[in-house]
Amino acid sequence: MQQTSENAGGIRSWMSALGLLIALGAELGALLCALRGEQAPAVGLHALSALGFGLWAADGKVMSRPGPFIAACMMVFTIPVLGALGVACLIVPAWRNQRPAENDGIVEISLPHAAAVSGGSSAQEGAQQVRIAPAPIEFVLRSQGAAQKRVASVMALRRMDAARAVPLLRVALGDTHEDVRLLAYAILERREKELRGRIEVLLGDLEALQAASAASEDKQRAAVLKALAEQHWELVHGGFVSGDVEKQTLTAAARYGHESLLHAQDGSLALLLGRIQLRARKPGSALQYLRAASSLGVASSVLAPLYAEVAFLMRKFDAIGPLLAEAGNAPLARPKLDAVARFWTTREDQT
Amino acid sequence: MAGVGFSLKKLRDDDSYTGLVRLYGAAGIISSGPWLLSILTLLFIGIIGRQLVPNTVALQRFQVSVTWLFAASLLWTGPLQLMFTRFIADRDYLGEHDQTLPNLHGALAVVGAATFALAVPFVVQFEDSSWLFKWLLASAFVVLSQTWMAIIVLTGLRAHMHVFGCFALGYGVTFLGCMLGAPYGETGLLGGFVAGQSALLFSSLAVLANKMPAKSPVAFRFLERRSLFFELGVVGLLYNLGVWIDKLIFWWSPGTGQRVLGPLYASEVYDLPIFLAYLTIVPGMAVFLVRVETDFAEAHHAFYAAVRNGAPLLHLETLCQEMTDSARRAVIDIVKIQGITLVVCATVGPWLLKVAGISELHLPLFYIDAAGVALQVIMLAVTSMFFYLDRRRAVSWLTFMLFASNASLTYLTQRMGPEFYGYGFAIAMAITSLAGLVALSRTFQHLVRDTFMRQPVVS
Amino acid sequence: MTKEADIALLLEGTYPYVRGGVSSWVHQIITGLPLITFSLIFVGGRRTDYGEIRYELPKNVVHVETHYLEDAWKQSKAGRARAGENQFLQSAQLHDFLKYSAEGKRPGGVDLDALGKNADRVLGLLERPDGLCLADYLSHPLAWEQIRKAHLEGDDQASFVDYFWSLRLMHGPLFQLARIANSAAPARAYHTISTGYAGFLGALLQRRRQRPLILTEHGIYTKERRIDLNQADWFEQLHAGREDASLGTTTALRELWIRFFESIGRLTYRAADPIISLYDGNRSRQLQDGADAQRTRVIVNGIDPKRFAPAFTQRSPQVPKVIGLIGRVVPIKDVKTFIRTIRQVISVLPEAEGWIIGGSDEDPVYAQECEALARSLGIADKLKFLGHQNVIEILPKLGVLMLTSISEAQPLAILEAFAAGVPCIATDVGACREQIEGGTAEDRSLGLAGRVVPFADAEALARAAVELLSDTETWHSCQASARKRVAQHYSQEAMLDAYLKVYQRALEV
Repeated sequence: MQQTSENAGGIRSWMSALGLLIALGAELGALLCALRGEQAPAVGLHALSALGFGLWAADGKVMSRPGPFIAACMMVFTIPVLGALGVACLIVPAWRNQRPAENDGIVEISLPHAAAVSGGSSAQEGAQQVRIAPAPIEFVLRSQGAAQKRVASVMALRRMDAARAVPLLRVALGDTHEDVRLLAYAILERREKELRGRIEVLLGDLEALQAASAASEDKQRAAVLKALAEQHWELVHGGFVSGDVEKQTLTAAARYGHESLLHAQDGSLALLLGRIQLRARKPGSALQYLRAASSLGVASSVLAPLYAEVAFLMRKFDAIGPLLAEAGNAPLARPKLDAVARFWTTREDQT
Repeated sequence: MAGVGFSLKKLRDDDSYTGLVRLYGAAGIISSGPWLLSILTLLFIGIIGRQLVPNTVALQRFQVSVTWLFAASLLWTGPLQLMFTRFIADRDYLGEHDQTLPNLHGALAVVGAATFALAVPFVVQFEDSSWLFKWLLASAFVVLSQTWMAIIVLTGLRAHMHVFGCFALGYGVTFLGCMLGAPYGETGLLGGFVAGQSALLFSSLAVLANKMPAKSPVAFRFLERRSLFFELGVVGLLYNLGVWIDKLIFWWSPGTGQRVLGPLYASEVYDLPIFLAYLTIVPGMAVFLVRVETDFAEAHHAFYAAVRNGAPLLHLETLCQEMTDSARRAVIDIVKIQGITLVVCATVGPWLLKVAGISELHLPLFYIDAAGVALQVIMLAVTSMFFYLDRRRAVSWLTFMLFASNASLTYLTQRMGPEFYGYGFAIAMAITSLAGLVALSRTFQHLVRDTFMRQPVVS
Repeated sequence: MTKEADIALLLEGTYPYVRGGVSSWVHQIITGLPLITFSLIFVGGRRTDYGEIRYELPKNVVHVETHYLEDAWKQSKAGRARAGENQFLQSAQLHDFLKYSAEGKRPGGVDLDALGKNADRVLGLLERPDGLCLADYLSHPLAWEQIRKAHLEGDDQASFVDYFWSLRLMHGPLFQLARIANSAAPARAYHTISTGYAGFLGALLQRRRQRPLILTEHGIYTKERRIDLNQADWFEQLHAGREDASLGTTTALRELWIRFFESIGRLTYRAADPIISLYDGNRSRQLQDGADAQRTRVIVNGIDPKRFAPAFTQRSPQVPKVIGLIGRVVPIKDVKTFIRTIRQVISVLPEAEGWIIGGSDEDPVYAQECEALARSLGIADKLKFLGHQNVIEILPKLGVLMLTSISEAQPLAILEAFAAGVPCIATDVGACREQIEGGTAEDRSLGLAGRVVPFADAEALARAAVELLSDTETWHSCQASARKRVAQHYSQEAMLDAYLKVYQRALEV
């Protein structure tokens, strides 16, 4: 296969060299005829020269793409001398050094045009006043006021992350108002469907990769396996599975994650595996993964609470306080953790 | 039980909405850019050449040739220019940036071939010119036609320094070439001209090739049926015809036109004043560029983007009002500046003509032409805005009106005698501008409504 | 010349193209009243959603016509906008009528009756020479004025482009229904099996032809459209084109559609007499939605116990550990919860099996998701998709019937199972509780015929299933209650009798 393309390349370069020769020769001939006043032969030779030039310009790939050939011929023929010069010096180099379309991912955005809008009345009171934060939504969902507000709150849960939204959606599932129940149900179903859909796709990718196993595919396999582990973890973390099925899913997640880790050393993956093992109540394995994560560069402030949980499960309560103190200050991100941390750290101070 | 279920399927053609967001500004540039450029070149050659080239016969022949070259190339490529602009705008909008350059090369190939084929039978009619001259004439025709196509894409690029550089190079070479070629009569002059224009063409292509990505060197997608908007082709033709028809009438009428070279005519009484009058258009064009191509274009873009992005109605109406206001400002500003220019002309006119070595008899024609030209800028602004709003029907009517009124009134006033020369042109411009303004104002009045109600339902 | 039928049935997305509970009921009525001639006017969404006619049409069906709402726009080029200010004024009044009759309160000086009469007149003139046509709606400047006004009076901060196109999508089919009403085959009375588009058609026909309109509601149409709205993908991809369409816009659009269906529902209630529902819960809902109390009545579904006697006698003495779901594989039946339930049941009763008895062709995507879920839960071998089966043959093999639907009316499947001696576990939707636990006090005294649990609760469903399948005594007691209940309170004879009377009264007019 490669030999023939090499041969083809050889033929091409022969043809383009030939084209150049014809071009130069014919043009000289044309010039001579012109000087001697023979118009018709001059024009004919000039045309021939254009053809040869086109052959050269199109790099001999005449058979496959007539476009460049025609374009070059036209320009060379219709504009004497200068045409050839221009095409040779400027156009052909440009054609040879084509740049593919760049896609930096950076796009220029102009600031949105803010027009002064006269305040209009808003009929949708409930929808407008809902803030997207868990605590107020939970409060609204448990209240018995206008169903409209609860509907709007449930709608707002569409965008929230699974860990916080799913418990609230389950609260809404038991609402007295039918509309709220049905909406919560629909949102829950959609989330799970998306997760499972992604898993299906990934499993398909994995199969495809298994079929074509080459060493270079290692990275791709590792990526797919990692993604599978993450999606399975999402199922558990989002509360979509329980009991037996949760155990099964955790095992599957651990299996995929471990296999991925063998192929590619990834700190975030090790961290995830640690979390998975903690959820599966296996502190020993969890500790191993967390140590791996640490060696792969995950910050100790991130690992500290997880180490604390390991210590808790292993009943090494003394170690917890210092570990949580190390967790650092991120109160807004982890309100529950903050309370726990305060419990364990202030007790230390008090003794 | 199962209801029929409704699916909020796409009833409408997204493209027709989003199409309106495309920056159609290039339309304004190309319909004015090449034409303006050509006029200025001619002027330049005429005035400066007169001082520097001793052989007045050759110079005159050269001038007339170049005038006809410009007119012919603009008329001939006018339709394709507009259609190609739309094609490029579509590609740009769809993000297919790598299609522009290959298709330009394809367009150049097609234009080159067709133009040359057209030129040959025309050029053989020049009985008393050397065949080199004929060949150069044909080449010049091809180069100019191709240059217009390149300019369309180049202005869309908005790489202003590069554009300026190309033009500087091109006209620099033209000047040099003409100077060098002057001893060889019109052939030499034409040779220099061709050299300069080729330099311009190829340097633009080099800039484009450098700046724009391309997947393949040449493509011919612009010729596909669905990419062609024939309405635009008609508009392109009518617009250029409308602008040149008064000159053509004067050239071909036995009373006013003289045969200068081969089949080419010129009008001693008509040409110079009108080309001089076009010089006064520069301030108006500057205002047009700023007000229409930037301010109005931005307001237009904001409006249609808001429509697409689900802005509430009050917001849309406000944005529409802003667009209307910017349109109004544009027209008013153009009127103001051209008014000032006219006053300046009235004062400076005689002196200007004396400096240029032109007889003062041309003065009245110069004044009326300056007025007509000022109105032409307004008409240009109106047309441009209609292009932005994608009102192709309105533009077609306007350009038709331009052509018809200019042709008929010029013919009429020509018959009526020398005192009325130029009035045909001016009145035609006035009529068209006025009609355009009225139509535009009515369009703006109902723009929000029409934007929605006129969208077709696609099942 | 089409013969005039006695009763024209207005069917939206059911009989005879779709197999299901409502279609079976329609078939029951037609075959059970052979002396009445019927014509069928079917209204569907998209042609591609329906295949062949799935039922053998009885001899007393004299005419069938089929229309698809997707054709609504084909007429948009024909006809010019010729309406005048008057018609638009009347149309505005129609909208006012709908708004005020919904809110219950009206500003002083508003004569609801007059508005109502005007509304009737507008409906009568749609797509008629003196009235509004689709072209008017799509292009007349006054139509724009109305749309603009409605937007500004409603949620004026929501996306206008979505509002505008939603309105177009809503009104197009209405104009098409008016055109259908112009040309529909004649009948002496009209019977619509839902509100919604079929109901609107019924209201138009009643008005234009001055013939009575009967309404029977199985599920509540507006409720089911709410469920559709919740599922709809377009929620996530509004025309607005922005990735995160504002909460306000999504809510506003949802409300717009719900109000639309409620409005045409109210128009149907206005035109229909009698307004029939299947159980009292739905009747209350109808009253809430604007039905005139005096016109409403309840006629329960019925089945012929004799038909199911062989299914009962063929039962084996032991309780098969098989849980069956009889229903189409569509989201409203929540087959996924059934699958999750089976998973839980199997972890306690490994020998149990789950059977899904219903067609998968109505929503193939959903069916695939269900199969994938079964696979990922590891019960692909214990969960069988049997497709459509003969109920008489399949019921003897079931231990328990389970309905996991999120919305139901009065499922025929439960009645059939009861007649065949199969207890039922159902979610607490529709009339399921009434059927399983009993409605009236006397009915309740017959005992529990199964279990009722909250919907989407796989654990509760599994617990109930395990209980019934393991405890033979409870199972037999449920079976006995079931058979008694269906014989005493859900007899086909009673239902057919009631409908015959309704038809006769309508035909006398």
